[in-house]
Amino acid sequence: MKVTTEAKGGVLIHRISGRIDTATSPEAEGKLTAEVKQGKRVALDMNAVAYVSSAGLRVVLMAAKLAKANAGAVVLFGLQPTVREVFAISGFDRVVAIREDEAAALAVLGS
Amino acid sequence: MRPRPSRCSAAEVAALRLLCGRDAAEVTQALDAIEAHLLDAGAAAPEAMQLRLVAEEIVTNIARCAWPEGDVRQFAVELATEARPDGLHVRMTTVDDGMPFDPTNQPPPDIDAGLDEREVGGLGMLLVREMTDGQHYAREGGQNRFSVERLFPRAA
Repeated sequence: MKVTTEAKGGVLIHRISGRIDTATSPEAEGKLTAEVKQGKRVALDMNAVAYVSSAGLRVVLMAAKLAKANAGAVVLFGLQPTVREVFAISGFDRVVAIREDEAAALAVLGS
Repeated sequence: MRPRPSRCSAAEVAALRLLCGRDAAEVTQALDAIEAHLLDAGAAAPEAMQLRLVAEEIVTNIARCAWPEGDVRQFAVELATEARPDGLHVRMTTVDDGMPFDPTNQPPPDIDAGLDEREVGGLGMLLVREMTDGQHYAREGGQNRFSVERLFPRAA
């Protein structure tokens, strides 16, 4: 898993590639929750993420909870069909904001 | 992990059997071997990915929870793929001598809970249930034997 981060109009976009699974979730947790803890608005670009297991769902849930607790925000976009299915089965698509593309995600974040 | 690939003689059945230890690197190696075997057997990449996910949830749970922390143990993972008239049939079985654990008899997580109440416990088995066609558990001779199966349909 790799994460590159860019700032765009007051919002941070983490562009993630690879897998968010048991092996990578500690690293993912560190990289994907640091800014939401500070109340920042963060978008997660999932276009290059081929795989999210329950360990990855845990990281996304933590990011969403931390965002809420710290008056930040987190939005995911660009989920591949297999990843979208995992979010749907777990019901995470109802507790985490998910949008089709970057423009829609940034609109949610008010950017 | 000591992979022991054994291709069965029947023309269209292929089997992989491996022993996996408890540390994360061995689990990753086992999952890589499972995914590679599925691709070899003709699974499409998203299909192999789905089964890898199922395998990750099951194998990780055994590696972490089946024995007291720190015990050095191994367990078996078997994967059988078969080209059937209606598609590619996959069966994955794990066998471990850890504490009795029936994955088919766990309370489902509350997937309707709001963000504050949501927890991650139980999600792994929910994914396993939803992403396979059948699950079977038996405790036999002091071992947990858990198998899942999935058919990836193919146009005739």
